[in-house]
Amino acid sequence: MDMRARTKNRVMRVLLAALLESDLTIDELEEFLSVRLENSMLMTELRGALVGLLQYFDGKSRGKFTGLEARQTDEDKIYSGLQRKRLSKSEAIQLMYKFSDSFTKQPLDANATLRELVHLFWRDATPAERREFSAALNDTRGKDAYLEGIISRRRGVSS
Amino acid sequence: MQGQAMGIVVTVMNMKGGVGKTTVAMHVGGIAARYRLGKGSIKKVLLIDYDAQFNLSQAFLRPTVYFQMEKDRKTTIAILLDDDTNLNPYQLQVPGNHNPPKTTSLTTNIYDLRDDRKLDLVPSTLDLMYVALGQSRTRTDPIEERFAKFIKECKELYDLILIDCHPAGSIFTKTSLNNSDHVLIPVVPQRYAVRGIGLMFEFIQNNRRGSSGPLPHILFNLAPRVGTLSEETRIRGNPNFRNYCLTATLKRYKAFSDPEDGQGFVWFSKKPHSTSAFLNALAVTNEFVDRIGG
Repeated sequence: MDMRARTKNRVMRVLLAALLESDLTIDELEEFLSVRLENSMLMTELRGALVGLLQYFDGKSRGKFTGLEARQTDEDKIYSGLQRKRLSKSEAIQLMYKFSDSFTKQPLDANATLRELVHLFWRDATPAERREFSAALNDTRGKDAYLEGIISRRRGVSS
Repeated sequence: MQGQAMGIVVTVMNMKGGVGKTTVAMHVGGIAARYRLGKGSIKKVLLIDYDAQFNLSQAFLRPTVYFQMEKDRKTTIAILLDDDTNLNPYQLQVPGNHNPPKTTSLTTNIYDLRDDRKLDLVPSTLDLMYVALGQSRTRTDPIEERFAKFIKECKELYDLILIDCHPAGSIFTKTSLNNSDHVLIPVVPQRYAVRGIGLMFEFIQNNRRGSSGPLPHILFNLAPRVGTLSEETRIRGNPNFRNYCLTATLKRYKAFSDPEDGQGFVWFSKKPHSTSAFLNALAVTNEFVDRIGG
């Protein structure tokens, strides 16, 4: 069966990128090029390995295999947002309290990890609270009061 | 101590940019005020932000507090000038009044601690840039006199005065060096660093008033946590500089660049490596205080 042109291009790009990114030497790449791929065992083995890999992921994701890289859920985004802000666990809890009334009522396990706390927040918060929290964490514009002060100060001079 | 000029004045400067002058000033000042070091004579510390970029002020003050102080003219520009309403970047207006405001009218308290310890700050302002750029048609003596008188009063009120000084040669560097006992020179061990120190020494020499002048101290900043870079070894091996180098070096910790709006200092932080960074800054400050006889 012939491969579609678009799929072929994508596969070619990925394979080339993987080979370039690898630590294979020029000599090893040349050795690879010297093999007559259409007749070699190499293609058979590669095909076998890929089929096995696809079956593994297919079983894991129930047929929804879309890529080797896991997709980030909204809950993950909150977790990575907290990590990016380099907040301590207690600072993160205070912030969660600020955004969710339901979460405030939760008795918290002192040994809970940040990931577990995020899960609790996600479970208890309303969709609106989740949205607001996520937006606040991932707002990369970040208000800079000093910058705003400097800009308005300049405006004050010119007016 | 009242009535006696006892405080030690230190200018933190290097003509090279990006060497961590402000980082060094804030950590040395903060730690010297908070902990008993050396002979234990340093308790009251004043930080003077003498750089138009006012990064030291931003590290310690919340924006609302800072902009209110700036509006009230409680910044370093008030030491030099009485009136800054018509600042001209090309023409420096030398004041007729040779007397600066009282120290207490410009300082703000950062920490008030047990055992009579405290850390105060005189914030800076962007307007200092006009003073740096402006050329004076007349002599700048009144400005220099005002600064000298201000520092004299600071010495009566504080045990240690650290001036975070604007890097380029200007009236700031001149007034700061003329009124300092010591110069703390942060140096990043990298290419051109040796020549940069050579220039700094030359500059200090040229700005000496009379035979005495501030004593230089070289502090290697952003040093690797393990091992020593060849540039540092070269400077330490140079007979002109070796006696001025602090043994301790300030290491490359992210925690040193965290402080903002009065938060994130290593003496409060619980972030990863902040304890190691704190112990590092403590060792540096302890050695420096010892060297200046504090």
